[in-house]
Amino acid sequence: MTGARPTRVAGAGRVLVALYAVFAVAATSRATYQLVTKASEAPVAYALSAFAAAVYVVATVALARPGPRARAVASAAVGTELAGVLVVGTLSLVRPDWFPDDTVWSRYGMGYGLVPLVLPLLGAWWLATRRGAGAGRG
Amino acid sequence: MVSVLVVLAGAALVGLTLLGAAFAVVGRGLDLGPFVLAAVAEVVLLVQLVVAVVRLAGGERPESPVLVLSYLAAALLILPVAVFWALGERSRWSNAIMAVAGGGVLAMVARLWDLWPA
Repeated sequence: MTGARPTRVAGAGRVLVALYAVFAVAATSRATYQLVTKASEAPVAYALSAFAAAVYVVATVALARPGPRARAVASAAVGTELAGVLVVGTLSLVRPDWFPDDTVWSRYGMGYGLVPLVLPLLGAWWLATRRGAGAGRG
Repeated sequence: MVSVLVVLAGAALVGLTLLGAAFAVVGRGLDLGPFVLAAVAEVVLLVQLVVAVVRLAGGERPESPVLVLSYLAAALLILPVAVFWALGERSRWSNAIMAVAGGGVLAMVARLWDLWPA
């Protein structure tokens, strides 16, 4: 953690990091469950779940850290999530036969209370506001 | 899982989520309330972990013991980390952090109930 640094994430951003962290844990647990118990049933869907979980972990760490490099990583991770939830969400509705079981991103994350759709939007909004506000703080 | 413990943990976690959210909305700063509820939930979950280990040792078998234990471990980890993360923030957002953690652990407890009904 980066608690002592002057540029540490504060305020609402801290809540966003907490949201991401909780969701990263939940998505990782779910993906592990799917892969351990029934990997052969829907390998593509479960591999996708594992990939999504990894992206949430990366986004959590990157959002929590200060600096331009972390910012770039966070942007990439958040972009990947948004693309993932939109593409997989749409495909799961148009071609349900491709996804015999739910992934985190199926039906725009409906199985997770739409959190997978809301999180990257919040993340993108946060990164965009910080660019303006944080110019002088580095 | 033990029904009584699930209900107790669930009540503490629902309380934590609602209280944290309410404090965040009214703009209250760092407050002891959410931490007390988080501590209650954590103790109940610890008892649940001990019971689960004893039951597993006694030969009871849920669909996947490894998953039950890893979910319990993950659920136990979230609240202490959230307390640490919230203490670094003295504003209303400390309460929002505790609310988020409470909601997350609540979802994991529901999942645990699926994995190993009483």
